[in-house]
Amino acid sequence: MSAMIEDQHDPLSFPHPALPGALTMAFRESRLREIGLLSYRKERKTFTVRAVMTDNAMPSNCSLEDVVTFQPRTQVFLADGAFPAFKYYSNGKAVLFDLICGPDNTLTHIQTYVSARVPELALGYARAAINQFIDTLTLYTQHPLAIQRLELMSLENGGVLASQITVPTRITTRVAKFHSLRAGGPFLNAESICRQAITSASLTTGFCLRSGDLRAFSKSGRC
Amino acid sequence: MLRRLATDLGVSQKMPKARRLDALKLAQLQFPPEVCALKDTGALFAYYRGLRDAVAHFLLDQSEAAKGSLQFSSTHEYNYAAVSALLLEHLRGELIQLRDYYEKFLSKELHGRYPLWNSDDRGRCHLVICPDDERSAPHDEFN
Repeated sequence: MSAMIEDQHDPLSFPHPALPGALTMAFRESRLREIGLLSYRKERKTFTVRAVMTDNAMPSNCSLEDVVTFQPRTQVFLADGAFPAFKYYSNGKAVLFDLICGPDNTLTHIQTYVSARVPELALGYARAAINQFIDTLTLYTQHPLAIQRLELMSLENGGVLASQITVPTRITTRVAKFHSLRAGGPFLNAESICRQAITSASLTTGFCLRSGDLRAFSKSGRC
Repeated sequence: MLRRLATDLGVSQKMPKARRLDALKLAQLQFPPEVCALKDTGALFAYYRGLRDAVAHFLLDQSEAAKGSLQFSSTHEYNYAAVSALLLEHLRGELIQLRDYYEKFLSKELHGRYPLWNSDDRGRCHLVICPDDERSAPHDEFN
């Protein structure tokens, strides 16, 4: 993992605090005015939102800079280069996506277009649409594609206006020499699940683990 | 589970209480007022029980608990992420609390004394022992 620290010249801001693992919008302070105006005016606009794609391990205990500067990397080769594609829904509805590749023709981004009044909703609905696109793609290709982050593109200059990220853990643990760890006993499974939940890259799997089995365990502990 | 163990072992010490919630912190994390008003972790788990059941059971059947199909690739993902992060934080605290109780009052009775470790035994004692064949192997047990 790189040792990059937060960019002090143009730091990242959040609309509100969020726990590690939560999805939130982050933006550079230099973009505050543009974001603020969009949120205040609430005029319906068409936003471009692109998902940074990866099939590699994503950093999860790192700086925010590491999250927003993570380079897309996949082994999905777009033989004919970048191309647009539709996902059809019922009653003649469809959503347009662009599959974007780098110089080596490997998929880097999947982009879509969202009509919204506020940036947070544009990001939220774009994620849902892109997820549904990837769900179908993955079923046929079996390629383990994941969204590392979403980027909302500026309507003013086309740069990245805001990112939607999974809040990373930012923790350094200092382990002093210890003699032993105690037997897990009835906690054997709970400890295993807890670790799976903490390290899970999948939000939904994480949710099942965090809210399901652990909760059941905790409850049984009190019954 | 722990309460039953404690009863079986004749341990009378009270189980730890559910952890209190910090209303201010919940508000800062943008949870709705009804969640901020919850008093302890027990109430928090109960509040999200429906969501938990729906997530946990969606692959199994469309029972009462899973009423209304869930769409993981939907805008619900925001909610899943925020709630699961919160529950994980509190569940870790609960587990540590329960484990401390277990270590303090129950563990010795169940596990006996732990062996003393001698550095001269390195490589000779306290090894992971494999059974002779897979079929007779005890399930997930070492030594």
